[in-house]
Amino acid sequence: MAKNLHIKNKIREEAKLPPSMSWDAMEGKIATRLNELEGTAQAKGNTSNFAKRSLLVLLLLLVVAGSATLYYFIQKNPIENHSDTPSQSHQAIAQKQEKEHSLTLEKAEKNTPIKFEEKIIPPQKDNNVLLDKRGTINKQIKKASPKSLNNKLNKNTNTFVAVDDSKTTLDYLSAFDEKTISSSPTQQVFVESQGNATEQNLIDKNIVAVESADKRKLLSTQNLLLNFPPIENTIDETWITDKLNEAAISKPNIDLPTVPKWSLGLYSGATLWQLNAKGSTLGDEKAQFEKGIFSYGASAKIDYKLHSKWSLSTGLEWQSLQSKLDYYNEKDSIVTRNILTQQFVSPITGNPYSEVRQDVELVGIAWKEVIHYNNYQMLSIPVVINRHFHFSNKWNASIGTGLQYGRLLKLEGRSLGYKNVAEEITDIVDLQKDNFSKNQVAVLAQISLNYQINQYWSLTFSNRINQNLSNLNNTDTHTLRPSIMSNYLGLNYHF
Amino acid sequence: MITNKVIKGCLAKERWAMQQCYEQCAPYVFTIIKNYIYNETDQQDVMQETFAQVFYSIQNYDSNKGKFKSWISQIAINQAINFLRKNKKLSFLVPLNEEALDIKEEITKIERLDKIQLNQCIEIMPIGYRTVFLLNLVEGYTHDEIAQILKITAQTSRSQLSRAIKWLRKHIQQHQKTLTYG
Repeated sequence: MAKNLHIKNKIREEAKLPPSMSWDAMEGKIATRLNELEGTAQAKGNTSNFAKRSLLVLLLLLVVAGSATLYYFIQKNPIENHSDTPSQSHQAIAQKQEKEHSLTLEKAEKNTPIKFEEKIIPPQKDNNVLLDKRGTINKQIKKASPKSLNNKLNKNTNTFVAVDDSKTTLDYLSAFDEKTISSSPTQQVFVESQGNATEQNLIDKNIVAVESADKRKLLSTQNLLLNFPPIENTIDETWITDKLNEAAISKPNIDLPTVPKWSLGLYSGATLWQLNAKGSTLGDEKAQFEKGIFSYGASAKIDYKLHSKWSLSTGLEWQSLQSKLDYYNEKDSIVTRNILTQQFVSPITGNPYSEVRQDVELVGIAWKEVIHYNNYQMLSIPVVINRHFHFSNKWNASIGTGLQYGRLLKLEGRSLGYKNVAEEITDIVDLQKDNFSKNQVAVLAQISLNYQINQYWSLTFSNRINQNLSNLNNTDTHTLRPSIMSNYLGLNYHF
Repeated sequence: MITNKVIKGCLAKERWAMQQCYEQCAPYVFTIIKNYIYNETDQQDVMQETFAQVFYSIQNYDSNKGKFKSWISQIAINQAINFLRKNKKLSFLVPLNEEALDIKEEITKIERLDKIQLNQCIEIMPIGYRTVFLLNLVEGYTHDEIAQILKITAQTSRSQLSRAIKWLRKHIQQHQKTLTYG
């Protein structure tokens, strides 16, 4: 309703200021209050700044602590020192292999005029070893996933071949019986073709090259080299075949850890949420009076690794969402009493008498703040696809998105409801399951930080935001599409 | 009329400016406050709080957004309501059965009352009714705005106004009856 000027003008006729409110009387009080306000504001400013600063400091501390821990672990457990430990991740093995291969080739080329090239020979049925071709470093190894690397290491032939511009060696090797070579495809063959090289030179130079690589893996090659015949002698086919066979027998068996594909995790933590009530008077009033408060939840999750960087997870999540309904309830009672009377004198009798002239209303008011704590319990099944980012062999982060199907298990408390829908008169009513949809669908996004304790166990901190797509409320009067932010800490077992 | 010079002086917390501001605005502010609060000591407290707030937050005053008088009146109303709420004098009844009321017609009747009658009626009106009545009909706030100011629902505000008008109607009738008998 618009301002009523008739009434306003009658009410707002400027009153004369009482002497007790003159400037002289008020100046001191106002000044004192102003000083208090300025003092409080400073303190409040400090408090709110303090809260913001505290949050920033906390975040900063977390970042610093995380970085320090990361740095500490990297410094303490460099990838190179863990090549033999079973807990080393496959990514680290891949990096190590790659690094060692390049070092081997670099070092070998520095110490010898012989050029070394690496060939990875695929496990073909008819393995021709490709010794008659000038190999180039197979770049695929750099991109290989742990799984494919593992396969390559186990099934393929890693061959270090010394080559030079002279065709002698290549011609000679080409003359090998293909069957003999392919029958022992895991051998490493080092040859030297320079006519003036002595046997000792050859051995020294090649040992340097070989020692730079994985000792266990190249043990057979070393043995082969140490028994290399003098250069002046003719290298005959039988000798080479024998040595290859010897090397095949002495080849160490390297067991690489298998990549765990599954993980099972248990999580729990705190949630913050809001009801997001909208539409009609009831929706607006709910939004104003009922607020989501600090709640909690727990979940069990199973995760399947589709790839080193992608995984799919699902599970079961239980959440107890609390809300607070806060309103003022006032009751007044008006009692009418006929207490104002007027005295008259009867003109006829001259006797006095009294008549009731006015009723007086006595207004009594009871005022109280009412708070109801409500509880919405949900059980849901999220399906999430995650993309992982590996920072080191211990730390990785992931982002994920997906859908969640939920069921409303339990409702407790009181909330606002329509007492009279037509006139939109609201009242406080008990929460009833009938007024809520049992099935809920939500979309979710999450970010997680994982710490790999060892090969089997890891810790995860995850932050997830769910947004209900379906309406929690099943009446047409208003919509409730809660947004939930969950912060969970969980322990995962990988198998 | 508050000049820019006075405002600047208040910003600089200069005594002469504050005094001039107070002396020019206090009667108007007092007129507003006395509609909400009747006890003189309470009125004094609210006046003190209002002007302290005015001088404290004068940097927030933007002359492009409205007159100084409107700005100061908003502060006065807020302070009066805060005072009532703090002292738990403000209360609102959520009606169970609301009888339909032709508000326009009733307001016309109220408009016919003379100044003294109207002020007398408002003075004895229950405080919850009075606050909503003043905020809606005198200050021109909508029910949604009143709901926000008083932290009640818009529905409660509507029903409070309706009840305030009914209450006034009843008192006008009694008043007229008294006049007839008198």
